[in-house]
Amino acid sequence: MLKRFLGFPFMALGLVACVTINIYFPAAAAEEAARTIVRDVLGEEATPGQGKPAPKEESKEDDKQSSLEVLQSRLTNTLAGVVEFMIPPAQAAQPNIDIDSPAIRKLRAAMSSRQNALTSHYRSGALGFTNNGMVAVRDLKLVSLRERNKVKKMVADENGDRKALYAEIARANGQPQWEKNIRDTFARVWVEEAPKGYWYQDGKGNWRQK
Amino acid sequence: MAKDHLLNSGFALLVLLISMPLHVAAELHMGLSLDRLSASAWSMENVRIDLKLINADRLSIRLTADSLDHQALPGTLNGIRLDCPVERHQQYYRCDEGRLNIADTPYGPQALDASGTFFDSEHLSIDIQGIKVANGKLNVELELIEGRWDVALYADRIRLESLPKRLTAAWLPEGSDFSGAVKLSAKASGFMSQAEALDISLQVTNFAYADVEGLRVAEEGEFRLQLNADQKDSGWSGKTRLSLSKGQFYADPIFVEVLDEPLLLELRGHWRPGANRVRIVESRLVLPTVMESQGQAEIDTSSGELVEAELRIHSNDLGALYGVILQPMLIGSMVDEVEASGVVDTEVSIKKGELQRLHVSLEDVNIDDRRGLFALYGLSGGLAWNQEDHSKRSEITIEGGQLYRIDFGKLGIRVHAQRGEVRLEEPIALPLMQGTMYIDHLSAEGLLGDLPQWTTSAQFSDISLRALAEAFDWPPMEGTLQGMIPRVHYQQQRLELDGELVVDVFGGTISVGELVIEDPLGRVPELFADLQLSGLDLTQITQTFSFGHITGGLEGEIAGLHLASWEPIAFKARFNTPEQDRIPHRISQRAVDNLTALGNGVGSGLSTTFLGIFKEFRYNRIELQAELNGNVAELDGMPRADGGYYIVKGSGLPRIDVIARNRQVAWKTLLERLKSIRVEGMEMR
Repeated sequence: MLKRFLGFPFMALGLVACVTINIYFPAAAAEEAARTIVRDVLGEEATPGQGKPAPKEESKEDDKQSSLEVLQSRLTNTLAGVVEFMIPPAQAAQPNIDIDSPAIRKLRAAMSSRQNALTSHYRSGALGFTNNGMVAVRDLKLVSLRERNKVKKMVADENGDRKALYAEIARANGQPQWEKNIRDTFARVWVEEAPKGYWYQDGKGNWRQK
Repeated sequence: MAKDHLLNSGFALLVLLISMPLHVAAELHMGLSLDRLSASAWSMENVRIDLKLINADRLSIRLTADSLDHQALPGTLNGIRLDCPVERHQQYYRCDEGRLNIADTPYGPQALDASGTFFDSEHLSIDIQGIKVANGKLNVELELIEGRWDVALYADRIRLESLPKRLTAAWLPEGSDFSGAVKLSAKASGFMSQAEALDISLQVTNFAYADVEGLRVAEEGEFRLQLNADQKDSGWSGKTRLSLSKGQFYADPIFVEVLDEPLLLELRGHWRPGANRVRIVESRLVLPTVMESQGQAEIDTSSGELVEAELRIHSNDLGALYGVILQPMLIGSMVDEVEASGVVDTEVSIKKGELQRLHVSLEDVNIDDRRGLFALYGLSGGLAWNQEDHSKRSEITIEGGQLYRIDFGKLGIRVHAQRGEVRLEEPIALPLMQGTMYIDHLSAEGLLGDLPQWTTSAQFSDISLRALAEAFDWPPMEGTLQGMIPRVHYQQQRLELDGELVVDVFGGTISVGELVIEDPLGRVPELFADLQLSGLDLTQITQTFSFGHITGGLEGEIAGLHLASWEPIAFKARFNTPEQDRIPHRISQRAVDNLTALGNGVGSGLSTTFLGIFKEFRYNRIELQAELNGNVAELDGMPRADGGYYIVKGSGLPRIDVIARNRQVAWKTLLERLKSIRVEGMEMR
């Protein structure tokens, strides 16, 4: 009888053990990676210290997301903790974001070398950071006629690099589906790190000045 | 019509007043007051006309009105007073020193000289000088003969920015700014309400214009516009010439700066307002040093659509044409950063707004991508494309070029192009790295749609490994390779190889299967492939790489090869000598040293031991495995009980075993090791 009684939870544990571990997006690590890259690209323009640490709420959500998907029974729920203990959720807990692939290095270098030429246009308000992690022409009139196509070309190139960078970070970390989350993280960090006077789009797409 | 009718009634009234019998000896005063005099287009308030007869040949007329509104005027005129001393001649009346004062106009008070000749209501002329308009002066001359009229306007120093908004709103987009000084000379003539001829000469200096978004801008502009038009068959026929002699002009995305020679646009054609059609029978556009174009066109004025057009565009300097016109339109595409030169002649045919036919002839054209992806030198020949079936083929010769960093030599291309398809008519022999690549098939489809795709197949022979290695900064290699690419298919930025690419090299074959290149010309090209090595001769390989001498066969594989930006990210590789090897197994001292360095990071230091006297050793088997995943490579070889692994298992005496202990090594470190391998007194790069 006792044997049967003891056997049940173990059976249940065995059942519960066939769980799916989903690696959800590591927001904090992504933010740190984004900040490293953004500061590096903005160079002296960046305003270190100004950037906020990842808000508490978000990490809470993150934790919630990284919990394990378990079979929907009360018993299995109570056993989830045991399972978590027995199957180390190594990847799910604190994964790093790798930003050291050759492609990422190339893209960062290309963006850094373009930054100098873009700075004056960010400052004038001709260009601004969009709410999807890109750069856009905010007011073409602030660029001299002669420079306009040069600026448009730089914007096209910068956006090409940024798009490739977000995709490549996701890919280099073996999670291509993270691209959107990485882009969103960058979108926020670009704005946070941007110096005073730079223009950026708020969530509704309206231009605001820092 | 009603307007003119009432205007004529006005004249009739005046005629009535002054053609009364004037045979009176004494001075005679007559006055007429009207509260309101109006017609559909104009109205006058509190009109008073005073006539004073001085003698039989002289009288004076005074007309006053509180206000005048007219559709054609920019605003109300208030406080009008016209004084006209009239002299009577044989058949007409003449007013020479009339004064027209208007207390308030949109341009301030006006004091004008007015003169006129009056035969009767059908024959008269009026001349008003010195109208102050927008900081400038305007003179108006009008002559009326039996319903036929001539008007001449002369204006000088009119400031465009001072023109009232009401007047400019009709033909300028809202919110746009413009300024400049205008000199105008315009003549119009017609019969009754119908204009019949128009002759305008307009000169604008210090011209500036900007629309709200800054997409159309002119700065420091100077231009002259001439327009002559005559009415013909229920339409207008005429010509115009616009000459921009100075300034910077931006029409998104094209920027033109006019420096020494003027930018010229000449048009000759007909306009049929009833049919909403403008037919340009002759046009000429000259963009100095950039291009010159001639052609005909028909435009639907109701929709703005180009109904049809035939244009010929010639440029002696493709570089300038690219810089000014093409590059701005290509920003964001693969070809927005090239250097170009050469002579281009293009014939374009457009129907219903769509390109119908395109013939381009090229003369010594060079195109060089600044990103270093491709270059084409000495292009000559003709391209022929048609939306409809045609048999003309495109023939182009290219003196040479580059793709990635691979140079190629002279080749001739013959293709047939229509709609979205391009098909190779004759195989291409492409001189490549001292060998030849034969492209026997190449066809592209859907080039005009969203899903362009092309397929090709090729063979190559005698490609120099030395040149290949130089192109890719690989270690120096010797020898040649032959091979075959069965079918390559490109669609949606994905290049896919159907079948296997087989390369004959080092006495054996390397076959590349499952080859896919994602976004080959993009920022982060990714390559996936599986490679099989079989029957290779280590003697040839080691000679080639100057690695140190090894004899023996070599086989192996590189599975799951994944490159991003042409750098390896993952693979699982194994190289080993075959089980049943017919070639004797010998390995030189240096090769042992190099293999040891590869496995452990430091050389064996054999030469410093007593074994240094042996130049060569026999061996049983060589095996090296490497698995790369991200930044870390895992090395392996033949298993050993003590946890290490053999890279070289020796045989005979003196026996040399190369045993490695470390398995995990950072990929960077492994690359460093490969680079630091000693090669005949030099280091590999």
